[in-house]
Amino acid sequence: MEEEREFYDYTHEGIRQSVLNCGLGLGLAEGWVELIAEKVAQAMDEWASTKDVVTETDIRKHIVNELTTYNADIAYAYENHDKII
Amino acid sequence: MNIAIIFLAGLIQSSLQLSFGALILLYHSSISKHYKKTTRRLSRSYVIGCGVMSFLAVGCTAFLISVFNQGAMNTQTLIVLIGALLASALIMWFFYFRKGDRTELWLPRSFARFISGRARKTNDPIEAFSLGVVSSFAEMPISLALYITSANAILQLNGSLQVAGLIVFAALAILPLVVLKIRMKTGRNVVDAQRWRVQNKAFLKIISGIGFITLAATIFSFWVI
Repeated sequence: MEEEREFYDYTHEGIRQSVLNCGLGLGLAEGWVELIAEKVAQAMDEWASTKDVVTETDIRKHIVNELTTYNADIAYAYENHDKII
Repeated sequence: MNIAIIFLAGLIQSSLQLSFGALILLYHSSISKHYKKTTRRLSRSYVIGCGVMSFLAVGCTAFLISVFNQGAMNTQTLIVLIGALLASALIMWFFYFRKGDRTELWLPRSFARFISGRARKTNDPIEAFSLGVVSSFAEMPISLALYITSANAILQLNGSLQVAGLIVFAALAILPLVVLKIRMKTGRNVVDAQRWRVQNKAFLKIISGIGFITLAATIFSFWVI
């Protein structure tokens, strides 16, 4: 039986907020994390604008790639948040 | 020797990873939403929940053993217990952690997602306490043999030492959580803790497995023979 797929809209704010939550959870300075979150969300907007449909896995992978250039800890936390237990 | 058995069982219990992982998730989520003081309160409630669950689980097991066996366990049930401990060692080595460069545990994914989701949504000390109780309870398939071993050892202590034995077991069970709390207080973050877990996953498996076998051998030597 084929698994039912769920579709939802890509949003700049959704990406920014997820990176922001992840960074703030590491106790990093709020202003700095906000700046990183905004930059990552902008880069993702650019990437997503060339595509009609993207998967969540692709989005996550690209966010992690973007984050790696700014902060390795946030990238690690973002990549592994669902692999802890 | 009974105190040593309680001590060893408590140490093995402390090497189990579900409560530790859930505390990491709780910290990560809480620090992003709350003031430090609230996060400290939530983590404290969580650790107390884990400790209370361990304390009550061993106490309850001791009561059940004393009811069904009229005292400590007999030789036949001890042999079954040794078998369970050896099986737990094999589970630790081969099934406890999922394969790959991460620390996902044996739990069904739906239940793991439930614990992760609860850890992220916890905003209140009572919820954190309950999460501690649930995460300790969820390890029951692995830790039941440890609870039975400790309970049987506690039953063989003098009356006044029995409560002390329960406290020692519960204190050892929450030791890694207390260490994580201290490390978070001294400026480390959850990524440091998670990286440590990933790097030392194989070591944790080996140590826990050897612990289970040592405990089984100790029981066989001192209680069966």
